[in-house]
Amino acid sequence: MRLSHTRGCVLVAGGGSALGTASATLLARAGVPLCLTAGSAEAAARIHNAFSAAHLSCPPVLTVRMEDTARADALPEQAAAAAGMPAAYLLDLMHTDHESLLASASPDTISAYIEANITWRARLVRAVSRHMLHRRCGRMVFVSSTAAALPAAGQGLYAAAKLAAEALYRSTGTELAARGITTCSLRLGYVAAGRGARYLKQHPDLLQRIPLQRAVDVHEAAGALAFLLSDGAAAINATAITMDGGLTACK
Amino acid sequence: MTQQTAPCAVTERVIGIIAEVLDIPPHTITPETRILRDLETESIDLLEFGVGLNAAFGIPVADDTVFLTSLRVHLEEARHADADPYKMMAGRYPHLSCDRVACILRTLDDGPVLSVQDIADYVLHALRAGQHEKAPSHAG
Repeated sequence: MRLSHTRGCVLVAGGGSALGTASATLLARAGVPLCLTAGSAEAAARIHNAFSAAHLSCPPVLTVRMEDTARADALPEQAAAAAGMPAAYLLDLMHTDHESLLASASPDTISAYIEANITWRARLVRAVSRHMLHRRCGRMVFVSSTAAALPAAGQGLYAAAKLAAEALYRSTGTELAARGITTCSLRLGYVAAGRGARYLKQHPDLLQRIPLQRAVDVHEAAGALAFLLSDGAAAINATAITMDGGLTACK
Repeated sequence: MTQQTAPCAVTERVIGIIAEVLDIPPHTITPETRILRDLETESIDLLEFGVGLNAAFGIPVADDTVFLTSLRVHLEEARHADADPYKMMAGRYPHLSCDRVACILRTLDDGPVLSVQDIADYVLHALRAGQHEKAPSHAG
């Protein structure tokens, strides 16, 4: 794995999830400098525990909530200050938790969800783009979901937010690639970790629908994300690719 | 006035940023150079100018204001509202002098009006506003 923008760190936004900690520790083992964000003190503690268990020194962890809209504007500079170097990469795993039938969600919930997951993210992408543009290099990878293509009941807002985020990253990749900044999204299917693991435990029959007959392992997903951040994946730009064991290829 | 906020130093630095982004010799750019008419400038270049201004001067940069991006839209709105275009310009572009506003309104039909000096004036205005905000208050 080679990340050539060595004068900068990877900003792992949403590093407190199982996939976030798996990705961050994988990158840290490869000697990649990091700055992570966590949505709560508990998430920050999970990060510290994951690094401790891996016998790695923990990188800076900023507590950032997507409900704090203005924070998105300042995050790249705050990450650079914490890491002691600019953010040359963004790995975006952030998402707020909400699932319900669209028609049953309250109007206020809908507004807050859109504000957090779309407006916040658009402002983050804007801020990170400007941060990277100054040095004319950067790579952004967004963790999307197969729900963007095939949402299950209750995933209307989630799917809308993922599709909107993919569009933001796609446009950034088309607009700024000539200036050395590229993007891509990874649509993950069922991942056997965190919320995904709990859901699969409740619905084990879902695995039978996947041609691979199993969920994506969290370390497989982390490896794919590390590759997508690397120099070898730079031409995978302004697009979304799918990692779901073949789930969305089937009727 | 500090070295950085001296008008000529600001204009010189702005020219340097533009020259660097467009990869052209600085001496080919003057304060009167019109960014979108005299130089081969695209929207992504304006974005880079904005990033460069922010980095060089440490000022917040509102691209829409500094590059007069929506000037014609705002003038059209003022026309529809039967509002005074000079007042509209003074409100939206406080960094531009009255003479400059008059010149812009007079030459609007000739093409894009944004000049290097307009950008330098935006920077000077932002720097002065920043100094004003930082100045200790003796009130009370």
